[in-house]
Amino acid sequence: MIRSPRAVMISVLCALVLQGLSASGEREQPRLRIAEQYGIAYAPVTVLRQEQTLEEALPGYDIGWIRLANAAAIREAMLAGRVDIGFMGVPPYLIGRDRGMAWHAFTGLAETPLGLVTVEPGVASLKDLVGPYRIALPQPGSIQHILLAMAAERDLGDATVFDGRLVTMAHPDAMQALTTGSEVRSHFASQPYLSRELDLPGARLLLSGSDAFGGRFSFIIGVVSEDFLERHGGAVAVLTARIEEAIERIAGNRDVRVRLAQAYALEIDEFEELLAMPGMRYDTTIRGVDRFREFMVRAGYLTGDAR
Amino acid sequence: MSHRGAVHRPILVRLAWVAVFVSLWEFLRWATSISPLLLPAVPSILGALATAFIEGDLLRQLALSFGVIAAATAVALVLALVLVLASALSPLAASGIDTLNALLHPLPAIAVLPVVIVWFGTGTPAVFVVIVHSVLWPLFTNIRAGYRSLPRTYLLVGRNLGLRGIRLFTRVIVPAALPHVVSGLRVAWARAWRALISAEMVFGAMAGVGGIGWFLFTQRVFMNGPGLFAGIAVVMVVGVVVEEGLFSVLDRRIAVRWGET
Repeated sequence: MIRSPRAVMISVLCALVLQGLSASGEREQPRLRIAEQYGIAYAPVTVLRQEQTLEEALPGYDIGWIRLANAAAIREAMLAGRVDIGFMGVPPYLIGRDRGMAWHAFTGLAETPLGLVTVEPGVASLKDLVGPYRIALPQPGSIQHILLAMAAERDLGDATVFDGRLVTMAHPDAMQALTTGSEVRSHFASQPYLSRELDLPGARLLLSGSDAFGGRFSFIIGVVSEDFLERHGGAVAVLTARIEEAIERIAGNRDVRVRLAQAYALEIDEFEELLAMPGMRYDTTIRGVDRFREFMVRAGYLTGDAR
Repeated sequence: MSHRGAVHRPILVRLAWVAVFVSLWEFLRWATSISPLLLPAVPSILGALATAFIEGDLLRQLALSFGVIAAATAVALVLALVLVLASALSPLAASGIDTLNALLHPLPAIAVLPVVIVWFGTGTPAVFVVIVHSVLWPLFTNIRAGYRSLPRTYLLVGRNLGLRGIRLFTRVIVPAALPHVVSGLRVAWARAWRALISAEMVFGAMAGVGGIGWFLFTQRVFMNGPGLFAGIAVVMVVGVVVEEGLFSVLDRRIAVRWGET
């Protein structure tokens, strides 16, 4: 019998709704939703995702991977209970804790070179960065912003001196802005954009991340909701072990690196170069949380109410 | 006395309803024991509001937002009048402008943002351009409608009095079209206010402190729930005050003085 397109559509919709209802009704499998962002710092997570080793190691779990644009989006997804584990910079994690998010940092993921690149002529240090021009970074409260504020406090005596001149931009847009002579003349970049921007004519490194921080720190850490950690601590330990394993595989297996380079739309040679740079390290040790917290409370970015 | 009551009663009714909604909010919090990160307590929102006004830059941010809207609206108003005048003088120009209006009027400000960033960068000029775009077309449409609905007798009387060209335009056409200008401004304001907030949330700070959109954005990235709701409350209150205060009053005044009825 021939049915009208509308009737077909309605029955398909009904079927989908029913399926959705029954699926939510029979949820015995515990769910694990992991959110990451885009970039080479997340490579160990990308390896897990590509090779599905976590699915192998946790057969009882319904595992889902989500990629979100920034830490604020991950934090909101975790607050809404849609995500259990997220990967982000230390400052967004601390902001969440400060505001009462029940979550814990459970692993480090990567240390990477970061840096403030400027194309403004005549600027040799942070002190010279006085002009009307603007500074691009992923967003206020990001690790890039906090590192800039740390250096501003040290060199200029005021952590918030640049806060009125920030502009929120994704890395590719910011690099584009640097090349077009717009009012964005500086960018706090992470890899691979840091290296690419330093190749631009007239571009210079004003400040490196380790300079600003005064030592080593985790660029990206893994954060788990307290609720998930309490009920599935074993799964979190398995994830950490798999991340360790993925880090070893990245170091020891060129095929893995080739697949990663493809995932990030990089030539393998450029990717190998980035991996070999000083300051680039995949590592599960969490570094720098206390110093970030202490600074952020002092500068007023955290209330300091939560411990 | 009775007149005063008539003016004040709607405000009292409004406030009563707001009180009901606020109690409902607090009841929801109490009844569901929902996380204060999702639904902050009303006192904490009021506290954040006070902090933002007293210690923060919210007042300057609001002033900056209004300043940009006012300047962009003024420019758009002049442009709209020029376009209406050109349409009135030349049928060829009229059809060209009409086509431009048909194409650009439905284009939301947020859709042109990527192009504006490339052309004008990310500072105040870019926000300005976005607002001129969102304000110009409703103004033009309304003023043109006003011009078209102008009774021919007005024009004839004007001509009989020896007015022509620019003087006929400024002395007869503009006053007669004023009620339409006001309704155009009303639509324009609503669009400008939305466009400004979206543009600021994308562009970042303007002129040091940013506007109300940037305020909302920073509350979000620093996860200040009460501050976020305080910002939303400010956006709502400003919308109501401008809409029901400024425009309703303006509407009544102008309809009485220059309206056709």
